[in-house]
Amino acid sequence: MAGTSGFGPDQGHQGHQGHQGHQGHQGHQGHQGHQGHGGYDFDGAGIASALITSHDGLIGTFAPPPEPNHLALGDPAHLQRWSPQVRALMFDQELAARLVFDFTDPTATVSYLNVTGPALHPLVSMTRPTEATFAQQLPIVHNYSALRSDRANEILAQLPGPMAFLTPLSILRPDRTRWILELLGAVQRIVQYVQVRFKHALACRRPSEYSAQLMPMILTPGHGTLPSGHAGESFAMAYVLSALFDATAFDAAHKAQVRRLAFDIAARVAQNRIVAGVHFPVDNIAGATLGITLGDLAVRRMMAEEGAAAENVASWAFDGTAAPNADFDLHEMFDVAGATLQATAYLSTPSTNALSDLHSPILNYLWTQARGELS
Amino acid sequence: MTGEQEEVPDGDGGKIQWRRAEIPERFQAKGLDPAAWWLLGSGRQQFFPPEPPAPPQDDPVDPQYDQKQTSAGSTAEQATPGARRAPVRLPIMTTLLEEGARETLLKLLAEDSDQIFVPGFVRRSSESWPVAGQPFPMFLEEGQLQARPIIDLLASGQLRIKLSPPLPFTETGVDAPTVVTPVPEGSVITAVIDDGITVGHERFRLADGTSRVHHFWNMDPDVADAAAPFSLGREWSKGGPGGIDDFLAQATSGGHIDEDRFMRLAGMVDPARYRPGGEMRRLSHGTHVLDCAAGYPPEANAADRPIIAVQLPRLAVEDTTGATMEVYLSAALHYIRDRARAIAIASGGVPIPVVVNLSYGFTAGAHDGSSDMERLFDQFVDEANPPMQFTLSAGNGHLSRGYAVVPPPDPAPGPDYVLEWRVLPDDRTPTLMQLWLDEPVASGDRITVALETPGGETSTPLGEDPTAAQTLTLTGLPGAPEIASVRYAVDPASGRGYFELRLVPTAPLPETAPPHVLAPAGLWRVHVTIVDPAEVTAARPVRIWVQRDDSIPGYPLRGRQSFLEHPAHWDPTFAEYALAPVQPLPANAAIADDVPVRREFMLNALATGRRPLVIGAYENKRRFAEPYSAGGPHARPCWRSIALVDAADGPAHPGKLAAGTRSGSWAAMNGTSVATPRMAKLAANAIAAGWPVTQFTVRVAASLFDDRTLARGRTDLPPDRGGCGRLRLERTAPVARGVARET
Repeated sequence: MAGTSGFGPDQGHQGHQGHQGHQGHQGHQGHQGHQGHGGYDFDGAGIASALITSHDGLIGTFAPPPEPNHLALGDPAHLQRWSPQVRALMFDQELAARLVFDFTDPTATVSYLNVTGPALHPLVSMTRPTEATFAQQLPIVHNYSALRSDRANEILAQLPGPMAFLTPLSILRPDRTRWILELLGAVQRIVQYVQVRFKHALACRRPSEYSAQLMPMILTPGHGTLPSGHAGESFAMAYVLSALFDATAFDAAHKAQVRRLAFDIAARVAQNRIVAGVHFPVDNIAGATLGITLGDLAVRRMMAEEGAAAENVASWAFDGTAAPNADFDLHEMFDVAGATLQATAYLSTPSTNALSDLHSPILNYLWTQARGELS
Repeated sequence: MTGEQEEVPDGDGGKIQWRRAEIPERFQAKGLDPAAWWLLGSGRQQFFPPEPPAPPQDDPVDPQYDQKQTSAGSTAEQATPGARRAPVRLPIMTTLLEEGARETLLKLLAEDSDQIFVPGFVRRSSESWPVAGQPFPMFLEEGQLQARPIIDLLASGQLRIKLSPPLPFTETGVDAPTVVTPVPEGSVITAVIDDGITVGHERFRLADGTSRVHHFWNMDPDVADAAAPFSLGREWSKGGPGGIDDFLAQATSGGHIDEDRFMRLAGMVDPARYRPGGEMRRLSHGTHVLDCAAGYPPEANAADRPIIAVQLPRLAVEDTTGATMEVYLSAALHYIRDRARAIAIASGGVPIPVVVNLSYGFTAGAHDGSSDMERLFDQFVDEANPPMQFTLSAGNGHLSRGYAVVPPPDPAPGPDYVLEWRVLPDDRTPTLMQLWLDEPVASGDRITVALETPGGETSTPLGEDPTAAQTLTLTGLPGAPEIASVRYAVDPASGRGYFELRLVPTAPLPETAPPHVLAPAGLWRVHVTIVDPAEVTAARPVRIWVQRDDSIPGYPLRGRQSFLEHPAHWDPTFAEYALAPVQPLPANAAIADDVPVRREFMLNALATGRRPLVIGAYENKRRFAEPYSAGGPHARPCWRSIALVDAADGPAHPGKLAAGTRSGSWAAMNGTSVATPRMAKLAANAIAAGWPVTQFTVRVAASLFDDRTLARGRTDLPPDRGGCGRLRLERTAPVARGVARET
C-alpha cells in the first residue's frame, strides 16, 4: 500500500509518497476500524477456506430472494457506501476536472472552467521571479539554517504535509472525524495537482542549485521550487478547516482562535521548509496565494447548494518580478481575521467574475458530513 | 641563553621551532592589558578581518565618520554588503587612576572625538566623567590605543586599560530618543544581561497587555538600524511611538498578541538581515533566566517589578572565554544604572533599587576580586546611587578539571611539576592557560614555566621576565607564524604576576583559506619549576586555571574545552573496562593531596568580588550540591558561592521549569544560570519588603533557611561549594511575594 511506502528509507520520496500515503492511509485505517470491532480478520486465504466450509455446511437449498431497494441515480448519499479510496478518486476528479491551465511565457495560469457565464475564470496567475530575485534571497535561507537543530523534528514530521499538525486543533482522528480528514485530504491533493503543473511550467531552481553552501538537511524534492507545495497545501487546508469551523455553532471566539492557529501552523510549516534549506521565502508567497485561492474555491464549491446564486470570485495575479527581497510575512498579503488576500506590490487583483456554476452534489455532501462531525 | 632552538619536523612536512620573542616596549606600559601584545600581534588573525583593499584616493573620508554627519535616511546604503567597511575598533575598558589625568584624557577625547567612541549614556552618567577608579567602556581604533599620550598615561600608572578582541559593529554615534515611563512607588527594578531575551513574552507583561520591560538594549551589531539609531546595536523603550508597547499593540489582533509578529515589527528578529538566535528557538537562555528573575503572570499585574534587559552581542556570547565579554558587560552595567536613574526621576525622584542578574561566567583570571568588572560591581553596590545588588553565577565547571596548584597541598619532594594539558582537535578558538602568582618579589624568579608540544619539543624555561616570551613558530610558512606562546606579565589590575600560555586553534574556521596556522591537538605538557621555595608553598601555591573554551548550545560549534589530565581524577571502578579516562570521579570524591590537579576553585572569575551575591546550585529532591556547581578553595571561605539555590527538581527532572520563548510554553533548564536569577527574584522581593540584601544578610538567610533536618547529615554541603546553605525559595518567597503584591 502506498501509505507504507512513504516511510521507506528514501527520504526524498518520503515527502511525495507521503502525500499519496494519505490516500492509502485512509484505506488502511478502514481495516483498523474493523479491527476495532473485536480484532477480527475479514479477508485472506485462511478466512476464505473457512468461509467455503462454513458456506457448505449452512447453505441449504438455494431460494432466490426478493429484489432489494432501488438506489437512485447519482444520489450523493451513495458516498456512504463506498470505500474511502473510491470517494477520494471521486472528489479528486470533481475538483480537478474544472481546472484548466495556460502557460504563456512568463506567466502560468490556472482557471476555473465555468459552464454558465464566462467560460474561463482565471484563479491564479503566476509570473516567475528572475534569477536575481532568487539569488538575493539566498542569505535569508542561509540565516534560517541557524534554526535547523531546533526545528529538525518538525521538519521531518511535516515531510508528508501539515495534516498531523492541524488535527490537534480539535479532536480530529480517522475513526472519529473521517469526513473532515477526507475533506482535508481532498484539498491537499487538489493543491498538489495544481502546484506540480505550476512548478513544472515555471521550472524555478531550488536554493541548493544556487549555492552549494546551503546543504539542505533533507533531500531536495524532485520538482521546482516555486510555488512551495507545503505552503500551498498548508494554507489551503488551514483555510478550509477554519471555514468548516465557521460553518458550525461554535462561538465566535473559538472560531477565531482556530482560524488564527490554523494559519500560524501553515506559516510555520512553510517557514520550516526555508529552515530545511529547500525553499526561498518568495516560494511561500506564491504557495500561500495558490493555496488560499484553491482553498477558497473548494469551500465555495463544497458549500454551494443546488441552484445557489452566483458568487463573485476574484482572480489573483502573483508577480514574482515584484517580489521583495525580504522574508515571507503572511500578514503582508493576507488578512487572517477577514480570511482575504490583500493586494500588495507583488499581488494584484485584476478582475472579479460572478460564478454561478459552483455546485457539486458530492462535494456538498462531503462538506455537510464533515461539518456534522464538529459538534 | 638565547632561547633559539633547533627546528624540528612538525609531522606535516613543515618545521616548528621554539624562539625567544622580545615584547615591544609599547606593550609593556604599566597600565596596559598584557593581552595587547598577543591581541594586536600574533593573535590578530583570530579576530581582525583580513586587511581591506586600499580605498581609492579620491575618497579620503572614512564612511563611518561620514555617516555620522548625514541624516538617518542616507545611511541605508550601508546595508549593501561589502560596499563599505566599518573601521575595526577595539572594545576597551578604561580606568582612570589619577584625578589629574582626567584633563589629559578628556582633551584627547575632545580633540579626537570623532574617532573615540563612548556610548552616550556613559558620558552622561556622571558630571565628572570619567569617574576616577571606575572602569568605563570605550571603543578605540588600534592606532589611537597606541598614541603617545595614551601610552604615557598608561606607563605612568595614571590609566589602566583592559582590552577585548574587536567585534564588527555598526555605530551611528547617535542615541535614539529614550522614552522613560514612570513606575509605582515601592518598585524594584530587575535587570538581566543575557542572550535570546523575548521581551514580548506574557511573563513580562501587565494585565493590560503592555510591557514591564521599560528598556531593552540589544547590543548586537546586527540589529543596528538606521531608522532607529543607537550607539551600539539598538534600544527599545517601553513607551512612545516605536516603543515596546506600541509594537505589542500593533501585533495584537482579536485580543491575541502575535509575538513573532511583535518581534518582526520591532526589528528584534529579521532573518533577511541576520541569523536568528535563541529568541527564535523553543528555549532560550535569556528568556528562561529573565522569567526566573522577574517573570510574573500578566494577571499579577506586577507593575512594581519593572525590567531592564540587555542582550549581549552574539559574537561575545559565542566566545565563551569571556575575553570579548567584559567591555560589553561594563557598558551594560553603566546603561542599566543610567536608565534606572532616569526611571526614578520620571517617577518622582526617589531612587529605585535595582537587582542585576548575570548568569554568565568564565574561568581564567586573578580570582581575587581585583578585575575591572568585579571592581565595577563592588563600586556600584557601594555607591548605592541607586541602590544596586548583583546576582552572579558560581559557574558550572566543578568537574571540568580546569584548576591546579603547584605545589599541591601535600608537596612531593623536588621542585619540578609537570601538568598534562589535553587540547582537543577541531577546536576553532584559541586555547589559554594562566598560572597566577602573588605580587612580584625583589628576589627575582619564583618559578619558571616551559611548554612542551605533543611531539615532545619543550620551550626554554621562562622566568618572571616581562620583556620576552617563548613562541612556537611554523618556520615552513612565510613570516614563521606563531602557534603557541609562553609569557610572563604583571596584571595591571591586581599587581600580581602571572604566566600565560596561549595556543592558536587546532582547526581552521571553514571560510579561511590555507595555509592554516594551527596548533597540534593532543597532550601538551606544562613544566613548572619552583625556583624560590620560600615564596611558593603549599599555603601560597601557584594557582593555575584553564580558560573556558567550550561551545554554547544553540550556537555554532567552535570552541572545545581543554582540560588537565591526571589519573587521580579517573574513577578506578571503571579502570578494568578501559573507560577510566572518560569516566570522572563522583562529584564529592576526594582528590589525594599530592595531586596538583584539584577539584576546586572553578568559581566564575567574575564572582570573587566583595559585594555581589554569588549563587551555586543544588538539587531540590536530594538536597545535593549539584556536581557541576563550582566553588572556591577549601582554605579561603570568602572565595566561594555565598548560598545555593535549587536548580533542579530531582533526579527525574534535572532542571527547573520556566518560560520558553513564546507565551504559554515552558521549558526546563538547569545550571547555576538558573539558580542565580531565582535568587534575583527573591532579592528584589526582599528589597521591596525593606530587607537589606547583602552578602552578609544572604549568608545569614541561607544559614537560617537551610533545611538541616531533612538533610540529616547525609547531604552535608561540601565546604568549598556549599556557601552558607541551601536557600529554600519555597519557604522564603511567599513572605516577600506577599509584600510585593500589596502594591
